[in-house]
Amino acid sequence: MAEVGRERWSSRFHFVFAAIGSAIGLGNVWRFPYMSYSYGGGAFLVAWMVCLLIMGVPWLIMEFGMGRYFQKGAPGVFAGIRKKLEWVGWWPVFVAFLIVCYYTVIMAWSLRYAVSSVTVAWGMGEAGASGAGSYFFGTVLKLSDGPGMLGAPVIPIVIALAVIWIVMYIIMYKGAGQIGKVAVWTVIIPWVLLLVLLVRGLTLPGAVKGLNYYLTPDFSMLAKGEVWFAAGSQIAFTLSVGMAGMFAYGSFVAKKADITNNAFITSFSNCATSFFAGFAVFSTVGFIMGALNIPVQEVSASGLGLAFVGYPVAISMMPVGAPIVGVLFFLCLFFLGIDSAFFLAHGGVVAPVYDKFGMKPKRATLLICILAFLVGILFTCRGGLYWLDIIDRAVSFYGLLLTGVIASFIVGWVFPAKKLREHINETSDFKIGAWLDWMLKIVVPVGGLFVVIYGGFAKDLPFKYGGYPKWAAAFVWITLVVTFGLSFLFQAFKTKEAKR
Amino acid sequence: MNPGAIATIIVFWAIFIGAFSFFFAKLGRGGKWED
Repeated sequence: MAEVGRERWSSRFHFVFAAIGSAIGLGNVWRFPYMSYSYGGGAFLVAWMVCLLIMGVPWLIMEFGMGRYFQKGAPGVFAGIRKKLEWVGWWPVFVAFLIVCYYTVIMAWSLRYAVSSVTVAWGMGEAGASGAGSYFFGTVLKLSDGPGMLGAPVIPIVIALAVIWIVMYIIMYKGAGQIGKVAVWTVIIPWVLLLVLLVRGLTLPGAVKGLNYYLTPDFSMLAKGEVWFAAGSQIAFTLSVGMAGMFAYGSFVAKKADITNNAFITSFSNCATSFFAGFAVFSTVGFIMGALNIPVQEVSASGLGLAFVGYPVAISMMPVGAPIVGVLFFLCLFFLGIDSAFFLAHGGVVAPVYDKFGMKPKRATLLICILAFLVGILFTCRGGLYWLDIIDRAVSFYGLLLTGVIASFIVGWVFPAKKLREHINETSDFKIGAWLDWMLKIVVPVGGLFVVIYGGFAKDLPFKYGGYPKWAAAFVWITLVVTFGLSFLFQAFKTKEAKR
Repeated sequence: MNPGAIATIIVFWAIFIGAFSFFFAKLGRGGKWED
């Protein structure tokens, strides 16, 4: 089964760091802590840990294990199960491609802000705090009035985006060996930066108040479906599963190597980072509440709002070291993002492309970098933020979950799960029991569908997504249908490689 | 900091430390980062 000349991790250490780096991303900082605050603090953490064990870990083991078994990226894996199922592997490839196109634009904003932070360009004191929002939307994004007004690309963002793709190419063109070495640094650097930000946060007045909001358990919340939806969705989004890349990362692992322990280490490292990041974020949220005398609900504490409005507000109000904290925070976002980005690009897209079309990896890497940069320019336009939001909903929510549900169902019932379990148990540090089979057959597909229906269709079908005009909101469904169709088109391509 | 928040900190860091102790004890059957 092993393919001669397949790229390999230089060591287990590098593989684990690359996998941790792919899982740890912007969501660990801007999504998880707010979810904890919103859904019952410590009680949410219980639901989150349960979902990690019954959904996240099995899903990750499945993707690593299938990649290692077939020594191929996602399309090669499903073509290996049944020729007619290759599309199941292509759909997440298109999901990964679109995600990396806009994810790198968010990283470009972070670079822009790292430079702006040197002078705290949005202003210091209360004036700066009140102007942080208009600086982001007006000065940095030059945001238009709606998705219908796309406007021209914003040049500083395009330049930052180009720099990011050049860096990405340099990291990726030598393949897994190089990626693993870089990932060690792109994981450790944000950990150190988060530690510095945590120390700064904890030494600010009001920090404890913020941490109380983040952590205080409200166990009555565990009886509510929305808490389990939030925990399940957080686990699905945080481990970088459902984006094709983990199949390829597993395929770069030697046949004798462990899968199970690596999957557990990756999952728990990612979740420990989220938990840790929450301290840095909510200590700062507490400071903002005190400095501006506002309730927690009025602090921008999640998503883009936290990164590019909430945190800049805190920086403006800091008595000491504001520019340094600003530069460190945005560099931290950049480093959190870059290993997720080269995971999406290389594992998610480049590996499946050279597997199928027999291209040289370097050429495939260059092609994908150029293509993703060009598509990414769409999101640098004045109306790009609206399109980023719409495409994000299509691929990062529906695409990721639906492809994961289908993949888990097929591996669970068709491959089937028992065969996968026996395969990984041959070499794993510790054996995994039959419970994995039922997680892959039932829990991951049903849990994923629950999240899609409860948090997606139930909201987006009766109401237009994001309050956008009907034609713009329709692009959520158009994107899904087009990527779905493209996966069948790519399956239909007959190549010499595919015939092997 | 209120007692609930303190308990959350203790419990979840204990879970993470316990989990990592287990995984690293099993590592590579000899405790090495071999592949």
